[in-house]
Amino acid sequence: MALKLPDWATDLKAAFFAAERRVSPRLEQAIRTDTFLDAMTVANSISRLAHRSADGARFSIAEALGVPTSRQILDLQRSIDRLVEEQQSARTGCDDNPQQP
Amino acid sequence: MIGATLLTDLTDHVSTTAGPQIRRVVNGLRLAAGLDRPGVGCTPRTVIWSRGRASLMHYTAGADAGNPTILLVPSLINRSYIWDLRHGDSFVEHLLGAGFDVMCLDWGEPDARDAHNTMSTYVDDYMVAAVAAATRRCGSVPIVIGHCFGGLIAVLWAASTEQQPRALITLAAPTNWDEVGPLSWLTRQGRIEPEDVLDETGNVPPAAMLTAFQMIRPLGDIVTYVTLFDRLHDREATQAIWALMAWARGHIPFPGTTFVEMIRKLSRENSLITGKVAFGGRIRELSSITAPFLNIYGRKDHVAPPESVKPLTSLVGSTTADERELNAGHIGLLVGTTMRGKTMPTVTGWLDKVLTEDQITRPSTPQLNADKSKRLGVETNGV
Repeated sequence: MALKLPDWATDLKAAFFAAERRVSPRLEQAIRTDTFLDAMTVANSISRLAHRSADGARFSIAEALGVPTSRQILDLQRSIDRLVEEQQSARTGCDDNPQQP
Repeated sequence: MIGATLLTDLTDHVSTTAGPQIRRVVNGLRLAAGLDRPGVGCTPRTVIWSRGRASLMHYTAGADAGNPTILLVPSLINRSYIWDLRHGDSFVEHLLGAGFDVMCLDWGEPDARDAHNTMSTYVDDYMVAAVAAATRRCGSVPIVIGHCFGGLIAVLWAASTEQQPRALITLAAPTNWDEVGPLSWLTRQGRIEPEDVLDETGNVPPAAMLTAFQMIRPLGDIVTYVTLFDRLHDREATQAIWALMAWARGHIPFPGTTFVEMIRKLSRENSLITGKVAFGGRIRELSSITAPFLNIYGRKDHVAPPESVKPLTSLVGSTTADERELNAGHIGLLVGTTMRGKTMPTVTGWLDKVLTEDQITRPSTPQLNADKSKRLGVETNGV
């Protein structure tokens, strides 16, 4: 008498989706737990602290060398962009740019 | 160029004559090599208004002058072409086919200049100006359809203006933020401050938004790749999956100040559920919305679950305030077989019904002080 195997035992796709159906709800539940959310919060805090420290070091070095930092360049770029927008608005008489067909 | 054409012809020939396994290989190679990437946002259109990064697109294909105009309002976190994903799988195309004149507000890609945009910027400035431009173009205030956060912008705009839209439809607009997913849980009081998520441009980086959405369905990406691999023998299906994958991964920066305001007002205070939201120095009361209103949500929506969306129907002041539950997910409402078979018939059927009623077949005069006695109709579709 031949052994009747379930679909997932002979079909990789069926096996994957069978596993996914079992695992997904548990994972989704796990993500909602305070433990996971607290872990995410701590990971985010550490990541920000590391970024801030690295930025601080970079900016100190740049300042010591007398070269502009990326933040200063970004601020300058933002100011120029805003100025260009204001000029365009003044030229068209308002904020909008109605396009005629 | 000629080489590429010859290669495409050859792969076309092989694809149609060979068996499924060879077709899988050919389709996979074709996709990987960039020879067969699906074209997205292809319906012909003209830009009729722009401000900053935002623009208003008027779809020109098949539109007859004088037909009711629909203004589509996308969410702020993704690109607007989801409304016009692919030929044959386009919300815009189907609305045009149903005889509507269609416009879509494209928020563009925010950058450092948009970091200080508030919710009021979008509701009181961009939305008002875009509706004015649409009204100028089509001669009457349009019907407004918004998806997700775009639906909320549309609702808050309608709650802030006397000039009501001809009809207002929201798709998966999260109202009760206690029921919204991980982004809301993580930014609740005592965990991550919304300002902590901003990058040096002052906006929420796309990667952060993507991570938040991936957390909702941790295995979602793997499932999509397995589905793509499984359907690789079918060129049409492969293109459809690829287009949707590319869109889903193509998040754009979320304007920082708006994000902070959204988390504080909508998530932490959960103010929408009270029917009153204060921002931009004003209180917006949802009960002041008098336009015919339809609230559509998906039963399988993980981003804006039904429990989060349902309450909106009872908060607006419209005499006609209906809701429809569809057997769909968050994006399934806008694309694919669910859009074609469920969302579109629901939208056009409801619009046909309300547009034939007297108060809105008249050229759209502001509908003020409408009868507040409501007719709340709840129907379930797609069971």
